[in-house]
Amino acid sequence: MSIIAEFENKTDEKLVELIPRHKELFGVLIHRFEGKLTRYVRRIGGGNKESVEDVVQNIFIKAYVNINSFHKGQKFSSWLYGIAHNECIDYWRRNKKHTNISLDENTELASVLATDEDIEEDLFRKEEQEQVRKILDQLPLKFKEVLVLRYLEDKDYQEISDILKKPVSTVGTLLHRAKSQLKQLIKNT
Amino acid sequence: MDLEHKVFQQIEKEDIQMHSPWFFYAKDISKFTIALILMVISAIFCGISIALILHWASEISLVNFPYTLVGLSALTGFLAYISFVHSFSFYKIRLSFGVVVLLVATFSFGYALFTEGHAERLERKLQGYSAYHNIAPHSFREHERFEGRN
Repeated sequence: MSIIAEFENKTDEKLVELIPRHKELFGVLIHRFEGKLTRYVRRIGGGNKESVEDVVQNIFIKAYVNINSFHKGQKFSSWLYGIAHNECIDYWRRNKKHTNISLDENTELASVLATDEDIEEDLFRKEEQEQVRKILDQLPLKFKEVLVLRYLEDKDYQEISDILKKPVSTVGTLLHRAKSQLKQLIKNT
Repeated sequence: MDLEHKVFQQIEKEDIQMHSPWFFYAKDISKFTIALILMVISAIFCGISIALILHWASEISLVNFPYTLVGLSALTGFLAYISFVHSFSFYKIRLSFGVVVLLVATFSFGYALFTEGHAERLERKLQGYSAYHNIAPHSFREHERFEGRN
């Protein structure tokens, strides 16, 4: 049995401990997070397929280089998403004229958000996906990011706080403001 | 080619190495040392400025020097805070440290403003008495004695 198959069912954190001695195990983590990170980068940074792939590749390279900075007690996915967050910001800055996130993603976000507070009424009243897409693109990155992490990546407040390196209370405030701004933008359209 | 192969190919091609744990320890220690040095400088400036303000306030001297010191203490405090922000990943520490630095800077600045303003008012009052009674008091204590007599 190959070493990869042997460690396939180990936790992420356990694998990270072993990676300095068995570099090939990093491949297991790549397999585990490739899809999630690709989706996340597409949602946050936008861009075409190639640029999303490049960003995801850079995220894994950075994770590999800095794997020894991962501390016990941390959650690996939060640590990795933290790197992804920084990479997305870099990408966003380099390409200010970012492309929009996909229509399906926006619809998904819209429907998830609709279950929260009274945005539901407004969103379903509009029922125009194109508008929702435009509205979401008007949101600042910091708001879009918390919305994506909370409602599309399904991260809890603590995880978002670890990823963005912001206190939990700030995350709550950001989410509240993001939803208010979204609501305001919907009203104005 | 899948992502895993691409990543490993790049790692091999560019001979990318993992940073050793020591690299991160050294990085943290250097940042922490810089932050500590800045904090000490900040504390020294704060201490000197408060001492000078107290001294001058008792002598009713009007000088702008403490403002410079308070400014410097705030600046070094701010720099210390910035370096702490980068040296600690645990935001609760940096947040509380930031609050302390801000409080100290605000307190010393406010104190400087208050004491100097107070000193200026006293001196004006003293000059008024001096002109009226044709007396030239040279210090605050003399002024107090003067006030006591009348």
